Amino acid sequence: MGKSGKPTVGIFGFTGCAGCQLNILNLEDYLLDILGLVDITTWVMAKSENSPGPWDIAIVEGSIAKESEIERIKKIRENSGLLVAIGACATHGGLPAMRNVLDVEAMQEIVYGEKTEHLDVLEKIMPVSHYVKVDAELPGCPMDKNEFVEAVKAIAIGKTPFVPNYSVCYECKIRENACLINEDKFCMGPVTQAGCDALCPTNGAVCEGCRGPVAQVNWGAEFKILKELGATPEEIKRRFLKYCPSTAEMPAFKELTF
Amino acid sequence: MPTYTIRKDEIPKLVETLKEKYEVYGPVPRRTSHVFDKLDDVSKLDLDYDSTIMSPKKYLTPNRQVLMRVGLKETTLEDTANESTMDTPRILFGVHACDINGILFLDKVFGGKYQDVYYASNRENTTIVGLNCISPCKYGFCRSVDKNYVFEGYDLFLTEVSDTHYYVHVGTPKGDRIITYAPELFSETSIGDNDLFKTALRKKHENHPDELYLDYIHETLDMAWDDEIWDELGELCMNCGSCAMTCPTCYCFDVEDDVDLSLSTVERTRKWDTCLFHDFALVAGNHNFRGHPPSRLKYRFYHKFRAAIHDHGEIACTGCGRCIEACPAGISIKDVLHRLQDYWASSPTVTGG
Repeated sequence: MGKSGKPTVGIFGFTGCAGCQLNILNLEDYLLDILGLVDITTWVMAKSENSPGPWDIAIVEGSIAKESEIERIKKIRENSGLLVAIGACATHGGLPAMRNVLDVEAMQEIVYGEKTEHLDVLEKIMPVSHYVKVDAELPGCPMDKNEFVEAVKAIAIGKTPFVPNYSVCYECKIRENACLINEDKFCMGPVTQAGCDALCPTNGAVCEGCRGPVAQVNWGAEFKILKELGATPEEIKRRFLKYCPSTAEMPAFKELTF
Repeated sequence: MPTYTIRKDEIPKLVETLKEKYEVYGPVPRRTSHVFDKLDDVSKLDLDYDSTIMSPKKYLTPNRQVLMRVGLKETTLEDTANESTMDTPRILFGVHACDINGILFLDKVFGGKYQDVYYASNRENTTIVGLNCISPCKYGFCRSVDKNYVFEGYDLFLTEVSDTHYYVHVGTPKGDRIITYAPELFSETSIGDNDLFKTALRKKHENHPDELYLDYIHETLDMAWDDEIWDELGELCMNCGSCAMTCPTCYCFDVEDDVDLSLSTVERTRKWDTCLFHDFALVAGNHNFRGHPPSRLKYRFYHKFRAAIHDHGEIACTGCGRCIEACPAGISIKDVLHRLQDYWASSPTVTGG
C-alpha cells in the first residue's frame, strides 16, 4: 500500500507501439476516479518522478523481444503483488511477433545493415506469460478502455477481473449487426474473445481477431467457413496468427492442417 | 372486437399522433437488414420489412436490466422493478405474428409460476401493433411450427388487404385507446373490406409453405440422444451464441453486481446469457456440467423442442428464421429438425426442409 492507503501501481512498457499506455491516458472521464482507487507510483510515460518499486499491481504493456527485457520483466514480477498484462503484444505476442515465422538475421540486415552487434533480440518474440506468472490478461489491439476500467475496479475491491469466455458474435448480435460472414467477408468474430463491444463489425469492418482465441475455440469450423468463402489456407493461417502469434503454440492450433 | 381500415399513407400521421402519448418503436432499415428502433424519424418506418436482426424481446427483457441498486455509503436499497412502468408508455409498431408468439411464450416463462416483476412491468407498459405476413420472409418457417397467426397478444393487428389499405383488428382496450387518439384516420369496415380481408388471408395461406412435420418431436429427441448428428453439428458450431441472442424465445440471463468507480453504488444487473457459452453451466469447484462444446448445442435443441413442451406446453421456436440467418456456420434449425424427424419419427412425407 502507498502512503495514501491505496494500492500502488506501476505501469511499464515493453516492445510494442505504446498505444495501450496511451489508451490509459485517454481515459479522461475515468482517470480521476481511478486515481481515487489506486496510487500510480511509477509510469515513465506520464510522470517525471517514478518509484523504483515495489508495487501492489504491475500493469505491463508490450511483448518480450530482447534478452534485456527478460531480466526486466522478471524483476518487475519479483517486486509486484499482482501482474496484469495489457494489450495483444503482452498477452499474445502481438504484431511484433509476426516476425517469429521469418529469418531474424535476414530481417536484422534489412533494417540495420551489417551493424547488428548492439542488438540483443530474441529468436522468438513471446507474450509476458511465457516468462513470468501473469495474474490477469486484458487482450486486444489496443486493450479495451472499458475493460481496463472494469479490471482496475475489480482488482481494487479484491475481485478477479471478468474474462468474457464467449466470442465477439455475442456483442455483435447485441449491437444488432447483420453477420459479415454471411456477406462473404473473412470475419474472425466467432473464434475471437469478446470484450471490445464488437467495435470493428459495428463499423462495417471484419473482426481481425486482435483479442485472441475465445475459450474452447473451434478453429476447424472457422477454417472451413473461410475456406468456403474463398480464402487460401495461407491467408487463413495469417489471419489466425496476425495479432496473436503465440496461439500457434496452442495444442488446438497445432491440430490444424493448413 | 371491432374492425377498421386505415390508409397505408396515413400510417406516418398515426405514428406522429401516437408519439405525443407514447414512445413508438418500429422496424427501420439498418445496412443490409432491419432493426426495431425508436421512431424519432417516422419516415424511416418500413412496414414492408422482411425480418429484424433482434426480436422485440429486447424491449421486454432487455440485455441489461437493473434489478436493484445498493448504496454502499449510506447503506440504501432501491428496488427498480417499477422503473419502466413509470416511463412513458411504449408502442411496438409492426410486430409480425412470429414475434407476438415469441412474446406470448416469454409471458409464460416470466409470468408463469414465478412472476418476474421486471418483465411484468415492461410488458404492462407496452402496446403491440401487430402486422400480418401475407408473404413469408426469406428464412422463416412460421407455418411449419404453427406460429404464423395469432389469437391474442396484440392490441391492434394490421393486415395488408390492398396496395392502399390495412385491415385493422382491435385486440384489447389498449388497442382501442390508439383508435381514440386518432379516430379520423380509421374507417369502419364495409362488406367489401371484409371480402378483401378474406382474399388476403387466402393469399397468405397459399404463400406460406408447410415444410416440417413436428409431431412426436419430443419423442424423436428421446430416441436421438446418441444420434451422430450432434457430433456433426459440434464440428460446425463455434458456440458463438448468435442463434440464442436473436431468438425471440431464448430468455436465459446471468446476474452480476456492478460497482461504480467511486465504490459508492452497486447495481445488481441481469444480462443475456446462453447455454451455448462455456461459463453457463460452470459451477463452484470449477465443475462444468456441459464442458464439452457440442453438448451445449445439443442441449439447446433439447430445451427448445423437448423441455419447453414439458414446461410450457409448446416448443420454444416461432419459426422466425433469425437463427438461420445469423449463424455464421450455416446451421439451419429447420434442416436439423427435418433430418431428425425424417430418420426417427416415421414421418409422413413432408416437402422441403
